Amino acid sequence: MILNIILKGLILLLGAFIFQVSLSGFSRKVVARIQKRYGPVFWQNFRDIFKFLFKETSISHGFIFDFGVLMAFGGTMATLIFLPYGSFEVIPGQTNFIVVIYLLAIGLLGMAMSAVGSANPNASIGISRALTQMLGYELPFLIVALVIMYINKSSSLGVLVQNQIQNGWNIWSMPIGAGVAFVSVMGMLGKKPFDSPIAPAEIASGPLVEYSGKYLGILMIQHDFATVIEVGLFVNLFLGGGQTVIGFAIKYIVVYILMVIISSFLPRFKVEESVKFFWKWGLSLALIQAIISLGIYLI
Amino acid sequence: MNVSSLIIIAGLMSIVIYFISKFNWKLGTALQTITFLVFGYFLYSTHGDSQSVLKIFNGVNLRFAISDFNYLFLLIGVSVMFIVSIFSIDGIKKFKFKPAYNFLITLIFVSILGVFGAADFIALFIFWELLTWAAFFIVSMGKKFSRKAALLFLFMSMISAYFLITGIITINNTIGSFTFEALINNYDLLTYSIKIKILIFFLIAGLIKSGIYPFHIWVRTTHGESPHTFSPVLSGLLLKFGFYIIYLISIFFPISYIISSNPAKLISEIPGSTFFAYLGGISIIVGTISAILQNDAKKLIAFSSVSHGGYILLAFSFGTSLAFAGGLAHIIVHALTALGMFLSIGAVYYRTGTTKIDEMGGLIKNMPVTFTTYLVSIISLAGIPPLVGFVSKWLIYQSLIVRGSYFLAFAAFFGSIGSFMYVFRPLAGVFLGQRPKRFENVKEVPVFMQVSMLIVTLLTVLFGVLPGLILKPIAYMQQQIGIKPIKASLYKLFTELTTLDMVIVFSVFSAGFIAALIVFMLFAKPTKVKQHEQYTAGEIVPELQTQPSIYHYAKNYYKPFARIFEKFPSLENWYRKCANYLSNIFEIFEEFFYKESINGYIWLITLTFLIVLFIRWF
Repeated sequence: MILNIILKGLILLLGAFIFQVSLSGFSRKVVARIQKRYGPVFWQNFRDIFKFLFKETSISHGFIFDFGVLMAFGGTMATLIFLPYGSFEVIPGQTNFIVVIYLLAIGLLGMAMSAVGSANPNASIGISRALTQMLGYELPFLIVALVIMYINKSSSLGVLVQNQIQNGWNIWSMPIGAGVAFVSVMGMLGKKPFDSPIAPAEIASGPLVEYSGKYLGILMIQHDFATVIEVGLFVNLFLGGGQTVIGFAIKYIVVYILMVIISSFLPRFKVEESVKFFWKWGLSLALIQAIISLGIYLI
Repeated sequence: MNVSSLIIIAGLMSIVIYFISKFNWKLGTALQTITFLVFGYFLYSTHGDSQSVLKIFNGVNLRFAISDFNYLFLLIGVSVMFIVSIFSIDGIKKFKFKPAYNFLITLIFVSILGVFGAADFIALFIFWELLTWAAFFIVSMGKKFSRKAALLFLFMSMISAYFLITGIITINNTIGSFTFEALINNYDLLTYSIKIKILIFFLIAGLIKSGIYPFHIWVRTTHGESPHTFSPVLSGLLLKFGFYIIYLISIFFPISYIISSNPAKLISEIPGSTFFAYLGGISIIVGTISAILQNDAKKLIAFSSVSHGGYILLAFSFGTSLAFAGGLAHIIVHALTALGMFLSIGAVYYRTGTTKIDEMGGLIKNMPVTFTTYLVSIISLAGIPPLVGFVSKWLIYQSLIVRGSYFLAFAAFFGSIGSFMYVFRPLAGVFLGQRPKRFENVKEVPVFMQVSMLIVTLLTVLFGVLPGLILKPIAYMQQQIGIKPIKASLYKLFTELTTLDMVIVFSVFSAGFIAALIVFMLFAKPTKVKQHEQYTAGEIVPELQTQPSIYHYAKNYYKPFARIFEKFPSLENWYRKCANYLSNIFEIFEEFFYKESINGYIWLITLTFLIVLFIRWF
């Protein structure tokens, strides 16, 4: 039983790694074609990650700098376990939405701690922006998720997926909410126009400014895992997850590439602008969706 | 042991502790700690009903009881006092009036026993006032502006006490007795309007004492200015007095009678219930935003207490068994997290003499234990599994989701995500970042302070992994007072929506961490560098070595966020304007009566005397 879970968990981590790293390599190609460039090969991201991991020199700024990276990486890997991927669940029945949201936060907190622990002001500015922006994008997303959980009377992602397979996808029954969640997930991923926390030209890549060598390699993997969780949440909540792993992966690829394409021709928001954007448009649309869905549900 | 003898012994001990502290303050504080521990043991061993009567003058009897409805509160009270008292053995070193401080803290302990152990309203009120009196003197021993803060505290407590006594007298007028028992037995005698009246009086008294939204103004100054060993008691325990009143009145009135049979009736009978839940929601949002904008660490935690008070009020007035259990659990959770945060900031203050976030930095190298306590407490406060903060928030969320209350859920989410912002500010500003030159030789705090912080840390982790340790007593308590109990097991959380196994969450998280550690260890060893060796875009910044604080980003940490709220109206300003307006109106009376001469007062006394005489005459 336990051995089975460990084996499944390792398969999941390896699979998610290979899948998402190739996909982000592919997305670089997509962006390049939009900008009329040739672009790198799709395995370029593997090259980058392994180059960083095997570097002989890397700089450490003390205990918390290391510990935060471990917390971020470990927390994100732990969160991956609690998500259903089509028919694939690592621990059957343990796919709670609220656990996923909160465990994801532990990764962010670890990352933030480590970055600020480097004592570089650019990193601190980036983290303060990232936390501020988080108050923007999480709220509309959670409100929409709440509506889904209320209507389905369950906060387990596995049950939500099963209900969608029976009754049709949530994106058709609540299109406004799906739109809001889509933009929120873009905010979570730090895609443009919500990339002020890592703005390279202003604050030298923000939180990542002091990382090098294996730290940077680990954080790149962590970012890819976090992407799997966030986009995976959207697929599970709105696109009916998938009956098989392949079905899940196809939906995932469509959503991810769509986000990459949209973000590739948008400029950057100032951080307070993006918070205001999420509160003004995201929240009000989420609440409208809540009222509509509640009305339909009660009738 | 029953409560009345415990109170008498504690009262006598306060005098003993005072004199021993005069002789040797460390011995006195240690004696105080041992006293609290022994009392805790006695309370713990007297499980089950135990009634007792304390006779005071004129045949007035004060009734006390240890019963299922207050057993948990008594234990929380004694534990918090015990932990803070361990901290004080080293922590009160720089205080001016150590014997008096110890004396007053023991009195506070007495009043905690009295309020939580009371079985009639007169006993409750007497010890409630004793608490205000003792806390007033302790708060005024604190920082520079503490006297002003103490006055504000006294003023707000007085208003609260007036409401409380009015409510108590209304009860007595209707049923002719002050005891809890008489109230429960004669519940049917109360008419609807009287019920509402009593409820409103008690709730306002409780809301003021617990610092909920329109009455939160005293929390910031009082917590911020009071001595650093007393702030944890204020936040972890004294705010809970208000919730205890709300809890009591919600047992007596609607909840125990109505929830078990018909939850919907609660709303029809008590129109205020939903209103108060919304007040809790507003309190969460206001507390969170205000906390994010603070630069003083203690004031920041004070506002976080306002926000978490909002959670408790929301849970209590929401009216389901699950939410009620969540509220009770959140009282324990917030007591623990407030202890952890205030004790660690108090430890920092003990060594550095400041609580301003932007004046410090990089203290993790000097104070690792303090940092660990703070880190664990904030992770718990933000509600991240597998720590205890997750348990209560989970219960509250689940009850909100089941009922589909969107505004309240929005407020709860807002408070939860906003808490990441405000807890991170002291973490970044005080413990991480560039360490200023003058704090290079700061040492970790003495051993007793470390011990008390470690206790808090361990409890936070323990209760998080095994939530049954707090949920089982709560479920038992709910059963005893007639509410449908929640399902509780040692390490599983049950709700109507789903089941969660905390041990699985904890082991998956540990496994993830170990996997990360293995990956980390696989590759080449990193080179350690000093804090001034930074990326500076290729420029050499010579000041970085001599003056590291210029490279520390802590001032205006959330400036972009503050810009959003620049034009928002402030309640405190509004209160101030009202006060100015009133003082302008009454200037004429001031001229007349309060001239700075004795005549005015004689005028006033004579007039009062004449009025009283006049009333008596006719």
